[in-house]
Amino acid sequence: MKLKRFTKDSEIDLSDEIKTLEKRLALLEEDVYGNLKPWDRVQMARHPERPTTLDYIQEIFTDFIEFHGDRYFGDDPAIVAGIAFYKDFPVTVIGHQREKIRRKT
Amino acid sequence: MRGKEFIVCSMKTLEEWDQQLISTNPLGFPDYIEKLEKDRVKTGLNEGVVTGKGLIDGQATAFSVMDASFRMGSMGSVIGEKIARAVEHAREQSLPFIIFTASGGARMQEGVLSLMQMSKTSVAINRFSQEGGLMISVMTHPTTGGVSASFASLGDYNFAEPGALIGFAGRRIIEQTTREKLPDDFQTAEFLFKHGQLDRVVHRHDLKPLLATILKMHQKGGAHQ
Repeated sequence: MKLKRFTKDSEIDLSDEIKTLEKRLALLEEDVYGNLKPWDRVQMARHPERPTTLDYIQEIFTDFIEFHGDRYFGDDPAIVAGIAFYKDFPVTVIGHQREKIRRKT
Repeated sequence: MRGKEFIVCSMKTLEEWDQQLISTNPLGFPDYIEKLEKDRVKTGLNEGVVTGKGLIDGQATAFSVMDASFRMGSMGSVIGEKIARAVEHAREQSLPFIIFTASGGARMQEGVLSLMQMSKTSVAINRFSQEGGLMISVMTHPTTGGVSASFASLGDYNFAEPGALIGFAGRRIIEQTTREKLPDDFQTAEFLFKHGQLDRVVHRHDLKPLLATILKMHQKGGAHQ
């Protein structure tokens, strides 16, 4: 990404190198994610740095407004919900929100 | 802050509705007329609510703004009537409806006629809602009694200002009836938020962009048609 921006801004053309690098990245990804053992998958699913709904929302939607509460007795932090724009369309967004940092118990 | 100032900072007023409606004294309650007159002079308002049509970021909306400096924003026949009519206007003109509430509850000098306003406004809002109208309620300090138990809680979105007192019966009455000590933050906006009664607690400074965004999202057929 940095290199791409650099190429845009400067005289030196690095696009060939970028292409090679991107190809290598794609191959590596395929290699790593294509040969996952069941236990690897479990560990990935439990990875503390794995993005959660709020991370995805930030990347995908604009003007997200989160709403809380069930209008009866409480609010559930495990579910996030709200309204937002996806491109130009107003949408309702609902998702699970798992804990980012696992508690040490 | 007074109701009118609220309007000034959150929207551009296009027209005011039903300004001419003035309370009478249906029960012959002693000194009521004099008290009304005094508050009219004090506030420059005819009653404790201002209704009309305005623009928020260029988007038209119907609004009702209650003013607690007029008889503590207590809800008598005129307040109920003005709010019900504002909802009707919003329905007829296909406008969203935003209400800023501030009230000590029903107006005791009009007795049961005050309580009638709860059902009248609720029925109007129900019809508005059935036809797809958008209603946003913003509860300011204080929103209590019959107001909190009717239109203030009927928004598609219910917001409140930080620290606002929101409840039905007061703390003392509940404590004496239940003989239980209530938590310190009982009936604050934050307490209600924690217990699922409010969608958001929003500071006045952040209100205008929030309302503008919601209105934009609720335009018919999406924002760009």
